[in-house]
Amino acid sequence: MAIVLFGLSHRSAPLEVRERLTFPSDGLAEALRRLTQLPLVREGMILSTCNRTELLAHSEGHASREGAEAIRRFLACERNFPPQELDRYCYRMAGRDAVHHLFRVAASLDSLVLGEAQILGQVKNAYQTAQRAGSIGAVLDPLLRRALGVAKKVRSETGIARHPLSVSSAAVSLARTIFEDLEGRRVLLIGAGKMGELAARALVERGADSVVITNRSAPRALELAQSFGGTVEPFERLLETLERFDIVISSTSAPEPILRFEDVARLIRARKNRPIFFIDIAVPRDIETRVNTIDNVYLYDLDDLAGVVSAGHAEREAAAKRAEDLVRKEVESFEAWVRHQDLSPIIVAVRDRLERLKSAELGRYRSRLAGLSDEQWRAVDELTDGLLNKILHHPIQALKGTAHRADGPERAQFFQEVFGLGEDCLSQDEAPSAAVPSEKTTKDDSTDLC
Amino acid sequence: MFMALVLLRVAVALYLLSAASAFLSLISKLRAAGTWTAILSSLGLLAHLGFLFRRGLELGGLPLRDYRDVVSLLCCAAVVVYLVSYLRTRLDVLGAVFLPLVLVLLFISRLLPAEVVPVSKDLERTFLDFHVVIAVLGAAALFLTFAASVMYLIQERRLKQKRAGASRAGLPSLEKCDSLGYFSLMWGFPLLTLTIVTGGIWTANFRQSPYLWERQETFAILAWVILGVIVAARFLKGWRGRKAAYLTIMAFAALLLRMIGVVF
Repeated sequence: MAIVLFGLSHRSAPLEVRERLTFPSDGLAEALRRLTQLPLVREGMILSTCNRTELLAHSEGHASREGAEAIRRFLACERNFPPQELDRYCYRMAGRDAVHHLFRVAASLDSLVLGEAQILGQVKNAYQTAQRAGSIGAVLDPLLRRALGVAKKVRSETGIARHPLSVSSAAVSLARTIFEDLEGRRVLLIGAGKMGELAARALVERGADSVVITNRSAPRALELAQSFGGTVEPFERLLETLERFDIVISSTSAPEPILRFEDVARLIRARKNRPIFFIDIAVPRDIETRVNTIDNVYLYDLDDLAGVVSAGHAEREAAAKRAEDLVRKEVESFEAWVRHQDLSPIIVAVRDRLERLKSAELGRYRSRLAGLSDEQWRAVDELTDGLLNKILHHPIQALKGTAHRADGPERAQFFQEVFGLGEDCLSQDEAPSAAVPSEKTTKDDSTDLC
Repeated sequence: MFMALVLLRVAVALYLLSAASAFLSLISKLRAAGTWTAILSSLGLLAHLGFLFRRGLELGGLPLRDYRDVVSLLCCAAVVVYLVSYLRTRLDVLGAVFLPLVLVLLFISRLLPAEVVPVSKDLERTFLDFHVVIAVLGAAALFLTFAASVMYLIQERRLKQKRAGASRAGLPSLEKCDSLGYFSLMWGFPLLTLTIVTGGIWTANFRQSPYLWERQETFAILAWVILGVIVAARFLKGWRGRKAAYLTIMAFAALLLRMIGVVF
């Protein structure tokens, strides 16, 4: 596989460097065109996000070293960055390592936040841009499609993205454990703290209904309500209004609890025992801890939520381990697929060679077999064809079988030697594409000018 | 007889496999295990129905002569309820609640005496069959109520002890458990009421007993009273939650004791 990858990420380079090396999305198509015009590069793709810039290319023949070098120079001159400094921040990979890296990136295993969802969309965008620009083809197109497939598989099979990593997402996932879905749930936000606001916003994003804000300072409540499209209730009527809400987020700076055990016990009777979820993010706490012992009342304070978050981290780590195994398997299966693809020119060549041998031999005997009728000639033709096919059947099956083996390339080489397929027949085989490099060499000068 | 017994053994073996698969689906993250539970238990159900059919041929009527038959039919109905609710909710955990219980009941039922209730007239036979079928249907619906209560209690505990959050652990949300339990109770309770009424009529008419119900009905009445209280409190005060779930489980246990013929 002459697939090469060159790039940098949050793991290898600081933000100052990353921001200098990103590709603006509006110029990406042009950059891709210039990339594929490089002498050694057949196909190329650029993934550029705030955390990474990676260039992926299929370079000609087996020249992965030179291919990577060409991409390095390309990146340096595109982004106007001293090439020798690039080496301090960039990594380069080839073949299986490059495929492995790409799969890991798409599956969000290399992300700053393990399992975050954004990267999949970014890879998809990069793929679509490259597709539109016509910079990817027979090798990178299936590779990228496979990478997207692997990413989806990782998400669905390991559930890596399901585990909450923030207080707001913990609140959402708890709410969804109590209520089947958040559709139509009414949320009350007491106090105007930042974290409470974030939690309320997360709930609304998942379908929770109207948010009502109550705060000691009315103007601040009004301001917040406008940003939500919610309404304001006077703080003094808190206890009466509480009854209408399924989820209550509290983040006031009150020194004493504002909701006491007795209040909530009365509340749950008034609610006819419909469950209520209290999220107390205030320090000191706004709601008495004992409230959690009342049936159908669920109270989570900041520490409880932090516990959920740290469990979420641990779960993601565990899911990532399973995901790594999955990715490794996918890389192997992709490699086998590529080897299989590599075999088809050999098979064509061997058939071609035997076909030529056959016509040459038949030609030599033509004079001696002059007395044969047309029908008899056809029979001789079919006989030789049948014989050749029978002879070829087992060797070709054996050759196809090598695709899944580690020593596949050597075996394929041996196969070619046995049938006398030297360099000459391979070069013939590649004849149709030979026009492309020659065309490219003429353009070399223009790229060197840059 | 021989053929019928072979079918029953096949059914039990398949139920055993599907119960194992149900636990596998809980412990491991194997996606397919839940589907296998359903497939294996459907095959078990087919064998079980085959057994009931052979038994019916032997008896020349509904296969409902002794307590063994009644429990056997109840197990069949419970598997049907499991399959229907699994297909609708896709909850793997249902299999892990239903199937072990079905197996235990089938096992106990083989230990029960094959004592046939002497029935004199055809009319009496028909009436008794009707009564038993209603009882079995009601109990099968309450199987689901029981499963929902168990799931509710586990999920509720996780929430109260702050162990929830990262995932639902294969359990439905509290609200889903509650609505599943309520829905099945609304089928089970009226059927149980009808069972007790028909039972009373049968006792009074055909047995000429001086009592409204006989001693062995104590557990059935106990179950009915508990469930009645739960239904009434739900209607009047929206009462639900942990205590209701515990009471439901008690009522279900009492009902099962009655159905395997335990006499108080």
